[in-house]
Amino acid sequence: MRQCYDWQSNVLKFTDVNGNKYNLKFRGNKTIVHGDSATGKSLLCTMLKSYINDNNNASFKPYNADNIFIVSKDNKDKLSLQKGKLIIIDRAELILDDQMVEIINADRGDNRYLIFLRKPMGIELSPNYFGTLCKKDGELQLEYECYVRGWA
Amino acid sequence: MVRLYTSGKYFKDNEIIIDNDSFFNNNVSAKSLSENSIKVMEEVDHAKLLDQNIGKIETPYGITGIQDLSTGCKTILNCIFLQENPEVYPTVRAINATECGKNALEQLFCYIDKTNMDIGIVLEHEDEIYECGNREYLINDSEKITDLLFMV
Repeated sequence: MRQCYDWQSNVLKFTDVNGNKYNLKFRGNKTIVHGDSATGKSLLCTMLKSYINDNNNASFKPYNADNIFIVSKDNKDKLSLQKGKLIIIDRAELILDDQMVEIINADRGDNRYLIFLRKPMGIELSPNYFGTLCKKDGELQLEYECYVRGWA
Repeated sequence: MVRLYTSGKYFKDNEIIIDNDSFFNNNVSAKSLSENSIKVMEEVDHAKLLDQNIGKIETPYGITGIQDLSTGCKTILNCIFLQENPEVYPTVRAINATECGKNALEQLFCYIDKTNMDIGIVLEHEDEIYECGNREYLINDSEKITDLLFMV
């Protein structure tokens, strides 16, 4: 079974039940995605959640999403327990609190983060790691806004 | 005129809708969607209503239900719902649009402007909002501007 997220190459790649292709290549350990409404941010989470929830369903296992943790209001207390995961936080404006921001800022590589966020919440990240989702070559891809050498 | 607030602190808890996704899922049914709402769904999410009885829609990402509309789109639909059903939540005076991208914000502002709706919009990000059209904005009940480039 294929992994949705490959830690080695730092790529999130899968095709959902409707045939939408996702191919997000990350630059570093933390990425903040913002941009227009309806670009597929929540959809990506919904699809991944279905793979995580379907993991116990032997009849339908298109992908393995074991190394992905999707944070919600209900499981956010488990954030500090994660290791070796791609942690995805959708609608982070509503979910993140000071303690979670502290955990994310202190994480030096145990986990990686994909955060959908528009409001500044105190996450320490250079502009090189801010991007938007866009459809390119039939795939939903991550487009970083800039790359400036010298910014970590 | 569109009344914008840079923080939710201007409103009491029962005066503001913060979680637009939950509000929509709990209050707005497909049957209650008006012509205005259907138009907004098309303009923001490019979603076409296929069946108003069960809320089936067709989006660029596939066929799904209205619960899978973007949060930006749901925010505008909540506004329309509040205006069309003022008796349901009479204490609500504001809506938090921080989860809206600039495309949804522009539609939201257009709707408020067009209908002279009396509602405050809380916006805690400045994510490319300068691309929204020029119109009369009142910021935090004190400063009038026409271009969001000058929102501070």
